[in-house]
Amino acid sequence: MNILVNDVSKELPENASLQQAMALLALQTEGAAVAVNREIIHPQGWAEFILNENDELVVFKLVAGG
Amino acid sequence: MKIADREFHSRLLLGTGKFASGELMVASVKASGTELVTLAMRRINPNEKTDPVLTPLQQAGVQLLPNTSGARDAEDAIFAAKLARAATGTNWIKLEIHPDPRYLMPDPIETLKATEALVKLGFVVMPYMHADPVLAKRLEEAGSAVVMPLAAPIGSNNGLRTRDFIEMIIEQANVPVVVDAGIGKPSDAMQAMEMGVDFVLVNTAIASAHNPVQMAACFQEAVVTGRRAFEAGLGVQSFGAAVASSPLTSFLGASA
Repeated sequence: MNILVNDVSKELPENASLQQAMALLALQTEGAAVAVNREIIHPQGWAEFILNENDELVVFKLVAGG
Repeated sequence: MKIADREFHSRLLLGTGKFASGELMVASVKASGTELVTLAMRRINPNEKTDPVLTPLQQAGVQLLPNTSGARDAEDAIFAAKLARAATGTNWIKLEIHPDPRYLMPDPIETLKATEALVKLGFVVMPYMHADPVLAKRLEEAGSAVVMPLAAPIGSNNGLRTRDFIEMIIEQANVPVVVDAGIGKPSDAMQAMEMGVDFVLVNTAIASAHNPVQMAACFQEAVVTGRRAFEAGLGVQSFGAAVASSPLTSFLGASA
């Protein structure tokens, strides 16, 4: 299935969880926060959260800042 | 000195941006003696790897204060605060809303709206604001944990340009006053502390120094000295005529 990750199209297996998606796409999880279709999914819930075709993920991470 | 329910021994808060490397940033954090450092949240590029900042800062033993920089209105800021809480587990947030990318002036109306909403959501809100005594009271009434007036535009190193207004804020505040943005030199930080400010937040002045680690240590000393001077009670300033420090008799004349 196809999903969007920060506006970039990515292919994932059907019924992939958010946790699997982070691993398959080699996205850094430390200090990361994810919103799926603008709903924030807590890291504790990533394993149970199943993604659907055309879901829009926005992945944020902590960066240095003032 | 407390912010919300947390006791701090250092009155210096540090921003972590603009350092030449992560190692230099962490070394400067350690040299500063700070216990609270700011971080930002950004959308990642899924095809790009970047160095993690979280683990080295956690290993340094400092508390994290995520900010909402990049937010242009209250809605953006609330979303950023929720993301930061999901990423870090902390409910502390430095609220920054600046719709204008040129001067990065904080939007007072959106800042007040976001403060009201975030307090209701259980956040410890530290709002960055212009040095406006009226707004400071309104933010305090809305439940902000501190008020954070700017000394000068962000990153300018221009020092205490808003001094008169910060004095009014200090006089009226029932929450800690944190001077944020524009502090350019240790002497600026010392002056702020001498005025009775509770904390200063410094980033660019340290990160852009030739030797950031040494500059961080200088800021630590300045903040401690400035606070001690405030607690000692500064002498009264006199304008106009001089006020003699020695007895006013002629050197060889009759005693007074």
